[in-house]
Amino acid sequence: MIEAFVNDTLRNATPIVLAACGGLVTRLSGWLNIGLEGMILLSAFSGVVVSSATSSVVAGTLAAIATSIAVSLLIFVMVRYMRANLYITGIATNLLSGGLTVMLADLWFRSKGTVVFPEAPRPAVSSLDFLGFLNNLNFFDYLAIASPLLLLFVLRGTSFGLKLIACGIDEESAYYSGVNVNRVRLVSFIIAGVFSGLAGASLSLPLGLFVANMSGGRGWIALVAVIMGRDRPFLIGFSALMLGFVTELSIFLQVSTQISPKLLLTIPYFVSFLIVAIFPDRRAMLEGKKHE
Amino acid sequence: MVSRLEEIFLSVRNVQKTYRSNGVRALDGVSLDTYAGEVNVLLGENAAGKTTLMKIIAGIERADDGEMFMKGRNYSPANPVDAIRAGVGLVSQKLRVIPQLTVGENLLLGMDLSGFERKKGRKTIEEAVHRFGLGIELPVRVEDLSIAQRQKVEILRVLIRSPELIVFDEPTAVLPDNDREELMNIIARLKEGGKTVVFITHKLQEAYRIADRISIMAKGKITGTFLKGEVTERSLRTLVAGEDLAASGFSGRKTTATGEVLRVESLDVEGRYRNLIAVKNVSFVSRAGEILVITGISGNGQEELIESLFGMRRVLSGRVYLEDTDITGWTPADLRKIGVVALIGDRDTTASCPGLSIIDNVVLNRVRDRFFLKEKPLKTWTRELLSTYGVEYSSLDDQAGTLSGGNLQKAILAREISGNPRLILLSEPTRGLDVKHAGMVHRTLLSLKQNLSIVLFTGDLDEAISIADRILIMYDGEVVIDLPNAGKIGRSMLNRYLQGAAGVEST
Repeated sequence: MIEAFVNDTLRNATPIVLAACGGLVTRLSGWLNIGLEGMILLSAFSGVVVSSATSSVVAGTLAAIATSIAVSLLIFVMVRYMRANLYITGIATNLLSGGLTVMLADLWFRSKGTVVFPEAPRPAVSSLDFLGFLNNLNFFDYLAIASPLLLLFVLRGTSFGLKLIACGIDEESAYYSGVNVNRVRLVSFIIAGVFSGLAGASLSLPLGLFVANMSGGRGWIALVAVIMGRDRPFLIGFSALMLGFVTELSIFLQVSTQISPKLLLTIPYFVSFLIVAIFPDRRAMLEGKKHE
Repeated sequence: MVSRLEEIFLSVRNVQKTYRSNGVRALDGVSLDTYAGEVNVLLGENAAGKTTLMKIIAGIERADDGEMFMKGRNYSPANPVDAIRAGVGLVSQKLRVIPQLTVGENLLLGMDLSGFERKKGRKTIEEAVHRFGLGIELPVRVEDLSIAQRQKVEILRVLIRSPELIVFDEPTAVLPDNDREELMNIIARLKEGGKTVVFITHKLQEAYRIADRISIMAKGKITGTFLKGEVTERSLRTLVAGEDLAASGFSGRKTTATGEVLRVESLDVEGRYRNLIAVKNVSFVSRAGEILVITGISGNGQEELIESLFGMRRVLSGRVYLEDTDITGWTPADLRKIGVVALIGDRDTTASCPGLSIIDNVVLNRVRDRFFLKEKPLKTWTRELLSTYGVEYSSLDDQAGTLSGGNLQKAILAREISGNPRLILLSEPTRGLDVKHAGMVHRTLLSLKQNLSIVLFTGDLDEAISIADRILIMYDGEVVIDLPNAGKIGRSMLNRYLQGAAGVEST
């Protein structure tokens, strides 16, 4: 029972952790990409469609990543070259993706709700019977566990990580130091695309179906994890895991209690809100203290 | 004296630049040759276009028109990376090191390393630190360093790429005397090593000392280039069309001090970092009718002291009195109500909003009590106020950022004084201003002091000596000297106190 719960939590947290890692990279670059939600949804759709058409999980995953990168780059180009507002563009992407996926699903598969792809292959899952809570996990879940570690290495051990951080703190000084700020941000948006694409694929591929608004706010919750994690990969991974747990809890309670399911669905958001309120950003507080 | 080679390293031909945001024509066809292995000084007033020209040379901005040649070959950097790769390094006027990163990280950032070369970079850095002997600890965060130390980091960041041409854009503005010497030594060594140096300043003395060749810039053009032997310091002065401070008639002034306005008693103030006490047991008195100048090398507690006096930093112990009222720990809003005003921090950020119009900046502190604004009386009032203080502007609705530094300073000074305060706190009111504009601000302050008490913080000793009635020097958070400025105070003596090399003295 506990094992199953831990297992479900891990699997619930996967798309959140992945998307949060992508969000973190853009946040560090100074341009937080808030289009994660839309990128996840679109890549979930394209991922399962392509995997069904090609009977290949790998092709599906790559399609999901490509979709997500394309959307991320679109946001980047709009903001960088057409002077659009970063946040408005991100929100527009999120709103657009909901309608676009439903429209395409209706157009191609004659369904506005759930589209089942019976021929779509499922990603393989591990069978570690002796470690119950790590059982039945797929490639995406393991990737989610490894991602914070990978990010930590990039940030601490590579000069790209240093440039990324510098751009976020003070783009002008970074520019003067000889950092190509524009390119660093472009790369960060591509990285966000890769992570969100994986997050999208991790939603639709294991189920072999697409459901309207399948991302269900995970992109937003990932942003909460980024803020909660104070720019530290492990803390972000942990925050995402906890939000995954809360999401799992709300599902569990819907099954086992009589409380209104609509109310229970608000639990993740409510908890996010509480956490941000209870654990305020200490760095921001130190900054603000001067002016009190 | 003059270089033996006479080889032109960088040649700028007819470069033009107009800023699109405000239509200011910064460069109006500049042509300038810099000679290899020489120190080329560029001299000129604020807003003459010196910094713009250097930004174009360093690839930070692009010229609208004109050409540049490096060793005879076409040179047109699209961004700083191009310029750095071509061998041009810029030590910019504003410090461009990132405070939140460590010294080592800042240096790494300037090295243009790919992917995983962080270790290799660290080695290069250690070698460079050793070679230039600047005595900087690599794992220390830049925010824990003094301004002078930060500048060293910045210089090292530029030198680490072994540039052929190094531009120093007013590097001595923030440096105390002994560090200035160190910088001069660095420049001498660079020259010995065959590097080309461009040194921008508006300090004539300094310019004359280190230059091989001096170019004078005014209104976006080079108005003359001289070898050092061809001009004297005095003739330069007239060429630059600046007035020196002594000529403005400031020295040998009688104190007109009357009643006590501000009394500070054994004040301890919290520092920027945890468990640090920035100001220790400081006591002083400031009177109406006098300018009290508090000076010291940056990082010795002056900033914290002024912030605490204006309620922007926590007082740990001690008391502050305005006449008979205990104002310890009052908020800026309450302090303003009883006649304490302040212009502290950066002129362009804390003290004004460059993006707002001039009128908005001037009335900002006066409209807090009323919900609806009446535009006409506000405009009339602002116009009168600004003309009283001789602020030059074209329209009240222009952005405040379009004003020259001196005029902006006068405008915000006018704003603060318009409420008839009893005490005004100023920090670095002439930082970054040329002699002419600094003189304007000084004259304004001198004309104001009859009616109120002025407490002024500056790191510039010349400024302190020229306008103070009383000088107070801080070292390591303590007041080491508190003397009337009665002519017997010399620069060298004050310098000793600045360095903390003398004991405590007061009268």
